[in-house]
Amino acid sequence: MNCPLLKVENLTKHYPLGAGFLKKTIPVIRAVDDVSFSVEAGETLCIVGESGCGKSTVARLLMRLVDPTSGRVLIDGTDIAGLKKHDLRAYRRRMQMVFQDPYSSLNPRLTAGLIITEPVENYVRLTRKQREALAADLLQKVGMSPEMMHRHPSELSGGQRQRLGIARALSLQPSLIIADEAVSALDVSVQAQILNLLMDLQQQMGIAFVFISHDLGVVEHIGHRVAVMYLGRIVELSSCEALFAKPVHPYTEALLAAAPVPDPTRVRLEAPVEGEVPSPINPPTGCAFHPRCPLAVERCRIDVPPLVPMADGRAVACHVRAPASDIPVQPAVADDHSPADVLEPHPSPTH
Amino acid sequence: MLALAAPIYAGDPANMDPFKRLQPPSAEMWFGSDNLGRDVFARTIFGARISLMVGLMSAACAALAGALIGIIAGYSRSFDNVVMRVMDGLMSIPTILLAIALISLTGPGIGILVVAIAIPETPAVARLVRSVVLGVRERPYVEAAICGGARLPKVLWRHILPSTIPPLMVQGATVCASAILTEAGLSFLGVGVPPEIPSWGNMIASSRLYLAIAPLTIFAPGICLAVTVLAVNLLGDGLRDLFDPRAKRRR
Repeated sequence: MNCPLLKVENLTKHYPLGAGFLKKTIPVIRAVDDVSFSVEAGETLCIVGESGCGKSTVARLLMRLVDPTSGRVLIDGTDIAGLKKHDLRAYRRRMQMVFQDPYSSLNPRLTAGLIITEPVENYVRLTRKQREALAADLLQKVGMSPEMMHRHPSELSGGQRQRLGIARALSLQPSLIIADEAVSALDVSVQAQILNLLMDLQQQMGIAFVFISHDLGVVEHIGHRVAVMYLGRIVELSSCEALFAKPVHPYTEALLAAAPVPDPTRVRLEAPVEGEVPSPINPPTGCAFHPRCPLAVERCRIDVPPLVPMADGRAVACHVRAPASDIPVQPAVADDHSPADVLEPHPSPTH
Repeated sequence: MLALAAPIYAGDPANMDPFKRLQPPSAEMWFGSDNLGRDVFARTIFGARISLMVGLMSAACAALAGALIGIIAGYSRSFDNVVMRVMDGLMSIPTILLAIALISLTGPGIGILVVAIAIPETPAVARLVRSVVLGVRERPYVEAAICGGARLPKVLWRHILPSTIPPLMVQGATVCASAILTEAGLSFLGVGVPPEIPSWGNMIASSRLYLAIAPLTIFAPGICLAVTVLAVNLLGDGLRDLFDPRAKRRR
């Protein structure tokens, strides 16, 4: 417990917009802003949020496909953000990624067998026999027949391709797999198969997942803990059951209320939040959610709310619902709220 | 094929027969003879060997150099700026002028001719390869390979280079066609292939005075030139269809 498998500390990525030659200040996109979380071995952490909130950038930062602006990514206590290329290769074995698009993430010119065994061949030289045995083994693990190894990706269905993507990630026997929208591009029926496959693999091999998704149904199914992101920041980090039972942050509430529920008798709340996601180039001051937040108070416009740990183990970044202990604000009104709260602003706490 | 087998069936292209100058076509000499009594058919066939060889070698040189520069430029941002500006500079030099300058420095020869034709063709190839590399390097499967721990040379060789081959082939065919034309042009001007070696350009140049008397001496190599260039361009199209994986699936 003292040394989690993956620990992310104050991870930040700003993309400069255009060249800053002769310009004093370059506008930046705050893609990921001060994100911290940790993942234990064998656990699934889901990251949810709207498009453009920085989920995928987090994934790319974790794999160090892009270098962070600041912050640390610790794998078993080693910061990979500062590693040289050579040392990084050793750590890439520990964590692998499953990509969103099963069509473009497989090289169309290689056969399935070559694709899934390639990561291993980057570290060990394989004979043809060894490679075929490995490919057959990996294909069986993801529920495909070994004959598929001679097929090209174009001859396979979307679900089969995503299984190949998973097999490729498994080939190095990583302890952590980052799945960036791994099922979003698939049909719902295939999604379920792939999710069950991932959960089975997790049970068999004790792999931890960072599962990035915008689909709350998927998250509820697979997640142990959930981080909700909004405009590059984590606004709520909680266990999966607690989050779905009782969201605390108003954005989480809105997100849950907006998710489609397969129950025709349920009355949909009308537009829980209004407006668009603000631009990450020029985010609102204070809490990024305040222009859309039904609970916003004066302070939300000024201070960025910190992620405050709460009694039940979750952490929430909200001045109203989870006030930081050092500044006395009215206690959080987490116990008596119902979805209807979203429609009417809370009585503004004074401070 | 015809050109390769030339020595077997065609007569000696250098054999002069002063009594048979500017003859019309006959059974002995299919395309007649030229102003020195040489067999135009034999010379046309042997000229094809020179033209095709110069064309292919120039295309190969340009493709190789262009691919190398293009891949490096496509992958390294800092190198890209410098090299592509140099390429832009090269592009602005007229092919024929550069060739004349080079050849006047070293004297005529096929080797220097190939180099002279390849240099101005290289930037176009480099530009093409660079654009393909820029597009492919952002593909998820390239990122996936990096995640899998592949080293840079392997990423380039296995995942990026293959995508550049089809456009490179098509471009190579275009370069080859234009190289054949340039060679003919240079030979026509007398700075290309040395005059003792038969080439289409040489033949057209030496026959142009006799156009009215023996039109075939100029039309034979001229038509061959046009047909060859067309054929090479068609070959490029065919190659593109062959290499395109999407086209393959449709078939």
